Amino acid sequence: MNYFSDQGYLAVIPEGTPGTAVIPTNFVPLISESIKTIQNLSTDKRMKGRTWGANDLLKGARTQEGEIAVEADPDNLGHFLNMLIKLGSTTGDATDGYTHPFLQGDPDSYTVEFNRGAYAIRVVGVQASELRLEFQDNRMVVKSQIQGLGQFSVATLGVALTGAGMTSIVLDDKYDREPTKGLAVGDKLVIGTDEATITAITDDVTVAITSASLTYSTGEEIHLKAQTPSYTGLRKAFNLGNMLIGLGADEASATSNAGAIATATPVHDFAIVLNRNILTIPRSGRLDPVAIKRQMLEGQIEMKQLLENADQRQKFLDIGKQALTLIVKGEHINPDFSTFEQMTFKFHNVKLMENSNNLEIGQYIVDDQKLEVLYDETDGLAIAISLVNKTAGGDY
Amino acid sequence: MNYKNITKKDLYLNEIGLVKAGETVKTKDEINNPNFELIVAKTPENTGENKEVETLKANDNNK
Repeated sequence: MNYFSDQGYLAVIPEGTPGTAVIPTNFVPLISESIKTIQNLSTDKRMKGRTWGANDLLKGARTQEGEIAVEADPDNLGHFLNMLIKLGSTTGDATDGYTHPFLQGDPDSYTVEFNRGAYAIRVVGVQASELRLEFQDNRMVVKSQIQGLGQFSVATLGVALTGAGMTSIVLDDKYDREPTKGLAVGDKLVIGTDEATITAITDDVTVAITSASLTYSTGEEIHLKAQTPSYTGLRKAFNLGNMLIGLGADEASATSNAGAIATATPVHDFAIVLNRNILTIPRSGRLDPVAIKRQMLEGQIEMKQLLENADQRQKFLDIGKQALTLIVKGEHINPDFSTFEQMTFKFHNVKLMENSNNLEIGQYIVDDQKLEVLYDETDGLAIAISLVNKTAGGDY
Repeated sequence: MNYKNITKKDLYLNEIGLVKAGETVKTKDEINNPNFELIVAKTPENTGENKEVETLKANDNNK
């Protein structure tokens, strides 16, 4: 048995149809995950003349949710942005890099898979409800709160397998009326000491398999076999030291200030939170949600900067508009060092929700700030995000 | 077992190392990963040639 988290993996891939599983092929080094199947069970306390309160657990409305934390390297960060907001048209090429703009529209749904030692768990129809970009030990980390439309991990044999020439497996529907949800052609199922490869998803409870000799009674545990992870040449995570932040009266001024160290604003801590306030569409023939819809986007920025002057205090008291542009560069893309990985966030209108200048013994005075990201009526948008990396647009 | 990296990217596998795009690697253990395709060596059994041979033999016996 494998007890070690460190031997786990995270694999992701965009889906063609939200909720229809695709075997994920992009493996992303994982810091942590806490994805749970929340069954919202309740106790059955109906009166039957018992001497104990409840005798069973009853199913409630189900969700698949939790947090994934990974280092924000330029290639894999694109997947997590693509789970949150709409990817626009990618331009560029392999030599100079691809530029991916992200827009305020509906994102892609993903199939996400983890290896948890004794079994693999696959969550389908995954979208991000919230994305937090922060720095840990100077490296950018993305923490993504996700929601899914279903999962497959462990199932129960519904109809006995009786020996040679078995070509299908019927799953029990104790967990769900559609226990095959989350499976895809090519998946390997582990049953007892045997394995079976899926050749078709026949119906809600049945999968076709390559012919095999299998003898198992109903109730046998079946689980998804973990993949053998494979990794591309991973790029380094974006680093706080390679980030320039420009503040200005408008986006053009902020972007100009972010263009050089001399005009950029040094920051000690920095974090961006983007929230889609998603709505999970209530169940209709299913215990899990049937769809995930976005509501209005909102965002916050948290940062600390050395108190150089009273400008930010004035902005806070007057609720004054500022624009903020963040440009963080990564490793070179073109072998002649002329192009680089780069992430750009342009916030067209940010205002200070909080601005503290606390005094503490032995400490510098800082502007400890929380800014609200607002829609800018002059420019007609709130944010503009672009990511330059070595990954072609078709991979997202 | 022989597995081919069927992607356009060079991929690293634990315990094996770098497998370049399009390259085939020989392993003792199964690779359960859709980026890799199991290469099955052509034998009379899986090409159907055996059946042909058997049919020919059967025909010879009928002579």
